[in-house]
Amino acid sequence: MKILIIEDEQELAKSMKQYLRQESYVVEVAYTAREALEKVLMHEYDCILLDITLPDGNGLSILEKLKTENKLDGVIIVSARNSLDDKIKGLNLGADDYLAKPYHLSEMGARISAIIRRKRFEGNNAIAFHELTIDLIGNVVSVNKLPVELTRKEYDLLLFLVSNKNRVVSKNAIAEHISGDVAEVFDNFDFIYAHMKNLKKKLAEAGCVDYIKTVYGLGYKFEV
Amino acid sequence: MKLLRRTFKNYILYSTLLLLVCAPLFYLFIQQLFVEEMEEELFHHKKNFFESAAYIKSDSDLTIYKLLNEEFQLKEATHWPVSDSLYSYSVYDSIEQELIPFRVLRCGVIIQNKNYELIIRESVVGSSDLVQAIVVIQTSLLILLLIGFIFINQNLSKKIWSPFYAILEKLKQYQIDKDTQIKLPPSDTTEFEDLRITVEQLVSKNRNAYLSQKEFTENASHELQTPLAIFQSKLELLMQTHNITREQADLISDLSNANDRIARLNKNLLLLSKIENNQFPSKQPVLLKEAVEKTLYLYKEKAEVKKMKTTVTDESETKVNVNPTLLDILLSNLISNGLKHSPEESELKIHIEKNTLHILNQGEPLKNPEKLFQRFNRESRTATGSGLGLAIVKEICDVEGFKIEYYFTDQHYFKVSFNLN
Repeated sequence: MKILIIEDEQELAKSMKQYLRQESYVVEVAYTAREALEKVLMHEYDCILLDITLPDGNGLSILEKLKTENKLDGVIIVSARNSLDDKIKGLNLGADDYLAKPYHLSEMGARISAIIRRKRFEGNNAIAFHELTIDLIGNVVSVNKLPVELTRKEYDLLLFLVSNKNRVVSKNAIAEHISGDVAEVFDNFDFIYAHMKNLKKKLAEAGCVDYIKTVYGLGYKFEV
Repeated sequence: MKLLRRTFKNYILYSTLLLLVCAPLFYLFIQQLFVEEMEEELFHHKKNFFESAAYIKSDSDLTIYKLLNEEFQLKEATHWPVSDSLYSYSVYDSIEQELIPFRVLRCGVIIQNKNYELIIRESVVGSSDLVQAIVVIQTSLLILLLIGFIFINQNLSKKIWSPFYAILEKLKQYQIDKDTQIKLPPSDTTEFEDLRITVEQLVSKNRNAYLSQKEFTENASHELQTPLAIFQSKLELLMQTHNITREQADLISDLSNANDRIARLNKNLLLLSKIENNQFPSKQPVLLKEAVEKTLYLYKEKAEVKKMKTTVTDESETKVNVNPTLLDILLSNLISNGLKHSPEESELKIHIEKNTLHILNQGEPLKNPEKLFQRFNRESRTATGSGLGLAIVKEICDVEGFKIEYYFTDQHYFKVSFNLN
């Protein structure tokens, strides 16, 4: 699976690349709009992360170019402006998603895997690890083919961890992911602990291997 | 005291004083003039009499003369010589039923070698009436003059000062965050023209300073996003490295928390400048109760963690014409503020009345309630909020034309009034 990162900040691009490499993606980076356009027109990517504030031109123009080339599918706009305008403009132009800087890499990971899953497994969108299956269309989790009753938050939490499997997902990233855009996040992770406890308990009761590991001081990791 | 009234006060004081002092003085002066005139007259009569006396050759002549000239009284002198003397006296007039004052000249005269005392008298009544009439006319004139003066002065002052009041009015209406320029009416009075130019320059300088400050906040926040993103990404990569000790994990966790706080702070600063810059212009009617319930749902878990109860009551079906994003932020900040600062197992009460929203929660009274809506004002250093939540609420209220008030009786009470006009 090929991913293109269009990002003028080299250090950030490097981090993104490094994080995504662990997921066995093929990651390419373009630092300028010109470079990005070349790459986009020559290759097919499953997902493009597009920073719309590029030094040599507005990223939105790349988006427009992609639209005329019919290669829009799978574009996530990244913006430091955190501006509603950019978001609306980008989504109107046909981008799939929007990420505001600064974002957690695990959030980025979750967004990318959502896009890739949607593109690759049309109609039959499910993730399976041994006895655990997550049906992404019906939003149903089952263990050994028996459905497990999860709350919306527990389901989101599981999916978030699975999307970043084998990587440590920080408490902060989880808190932000679960709280949503508007809610002000409290410096209190009690509610995460509560959700996590319930989720692990429900999976264990259904006979699932304990894939979710607590990483001391940092967060959680879905390990397979 | 108003400028015009201040000058007026002095004018009127002076004029009244002048009138009070001058009217009696004037009266006395005229009176004096008349008396002098009358005495001259009396002496004139005396001279006439002396001239006529030469023609009196017999007693009968004298009797005729006496009959013809009532104002002369002749009687034989009791002593001689009689020196000229002037005096006044009054005689009761039974017809008019009043005392009639007279001015009298007494002198000696020799007629046919006999010594006589001549008394010439002149009624003062006519002349004193005249004096009074003159004084009344003069006083009326003075009063009329004064009234005219006040009237003219008032109108003239108003006219002269009108550019000044126009400038003052424009300055009062000027809002640095809304109006781009101030347009003041020109004047042909040099001072006011100077004032106008100076004020316009001052305003435009202030406006520029304000804009660059605003721009700075926005730019600084923008520019900070990228390094923050880099820092965060590196921390996350650091978390993925192997063999992290507990000590290192704690450090990374602390760094991550601190970075999250900076990121949130920065996000809020950016949001604040965006609200200030009116980047949320579109409005639509929103059912307040629905918006409140939607926001409460977002904080459901945080309330549950603190075992807090939340209630919403609404009898009004109030709809607010507002930018929906701003309303969400406003409610979110107020509700999260309430939840954050309430003791465990307490209640957060939200009540909607016609065009007003009431949010009540328990807690200790504030030490500095007047600073509540100021940026970075925190009651305690231990609080981990950005210190911008309520400043954002205030800014939203300002931009949207709402009014927010805070009271403390036995609990914290926020009141937001919508649809003010």
